[in-house]
Amino acid sequence: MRTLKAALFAALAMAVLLAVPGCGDADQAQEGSEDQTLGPEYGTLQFVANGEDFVREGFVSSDGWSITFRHLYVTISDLTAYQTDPPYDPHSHEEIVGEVAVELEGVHTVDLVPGEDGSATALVGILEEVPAGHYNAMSWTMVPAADGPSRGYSIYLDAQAEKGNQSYNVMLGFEDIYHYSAGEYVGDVRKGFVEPGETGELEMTFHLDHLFGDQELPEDSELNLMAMGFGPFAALMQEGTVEEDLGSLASKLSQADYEKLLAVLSTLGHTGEGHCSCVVR
Amino acid sequence: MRSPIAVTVLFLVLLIGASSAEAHGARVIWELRGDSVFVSAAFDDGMPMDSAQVTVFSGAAPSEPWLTGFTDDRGEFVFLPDRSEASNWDVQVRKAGHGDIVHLSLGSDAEYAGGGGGFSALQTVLMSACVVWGFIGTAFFFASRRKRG
Repeated sequence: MRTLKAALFAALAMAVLLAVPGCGDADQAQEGSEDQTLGPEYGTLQFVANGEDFVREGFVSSDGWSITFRHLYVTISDLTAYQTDPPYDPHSHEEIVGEVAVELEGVHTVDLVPGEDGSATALVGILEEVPAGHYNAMSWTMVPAADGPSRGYSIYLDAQAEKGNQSYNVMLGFEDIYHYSAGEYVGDVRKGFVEPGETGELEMTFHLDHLFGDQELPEDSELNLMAMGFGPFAALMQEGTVEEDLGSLASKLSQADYEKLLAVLSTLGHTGEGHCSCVVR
Repeated sequence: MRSPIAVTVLFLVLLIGASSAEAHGARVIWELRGDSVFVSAAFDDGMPMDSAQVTVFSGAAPSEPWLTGFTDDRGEFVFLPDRSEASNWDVQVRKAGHGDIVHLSLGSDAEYAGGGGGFSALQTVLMSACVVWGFIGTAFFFASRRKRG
């Protein structure tokens, strides 16, 4: 009986020892946040929007139309940055849950075509006194502008399309509401770090090549297969101008082209090259 | 490790040790192979992201690249993380406007050296239960021998 008690005591002692790694778990949890929280200090976070070279310099669509932009307006609201651990996966299609969330209030319309300053990105807004750390997720909603040149549209482009001896003024407005949930920025540099007393940056990137395609890519590339090209819009030309919105395109485009347009519009928003989950309302 | 529970625990370890993430146009997966991290990247259509730009970030200095390189012709990349430096790592893979970043949580160096390998709480509880049950069984074994003696 004494042997049994001794053995049971040893088993109990072993159980206690095995429970000790629970402390190790706490250490690991702390390490897990080593790149998430830089301390209780605060810094500044600025939000920018980027239309890439496609918007800044123009490009040739998948079906050979040379497109240059005079203006490309996007209207953004509910812009929120998050610190999440683990990092948010946009393919989960879930709402972002962050330990820290900061929101830029208001509705902001920006033109992705650079102004006289030639800046590659458009400043959307600045949040001061935000907790320092790594903002590795963000969400925003694109809503119809209440006023200004893009009034009534969440995305509005004013461009010139040319092919051979054809040259059209193009004004396309898209009035749907798009809610994007994004993970971390993917690009040349890593973004979203706010050091105490310093300024970090987050970027919303809009891929217009998804809409018109890119002649520099193979015809059967995934992007060009997904894109509209410009041909379906050119077919709607009247007196040198194409001026449409989703309301008119619904009846003028073929059902297949219209559905393709709706699908591709939801893919325009990115963070750099990083994918976003998009809900169209 | 021959008991069903141990086999189940091993299966869970292998299952949890691998992770995946996909993005529009790109899909990046990773897994531990011994001490090394194996990364494989492909476009959504399944084509390997060959010669894609790879940037590895250590959790100790997450805003600065710890290692850069390129995938091979199979879209694969292998690196040996310094676990004494950090337990969290991020790997970004990009090519032709497509890209993704995946997060790796490898556990601390001490846990790794001790064979823990960054076990989760569930894994730790299951393994602890196996060991404790072994001690209890041993105790009953000796107790029964003593009675017969």
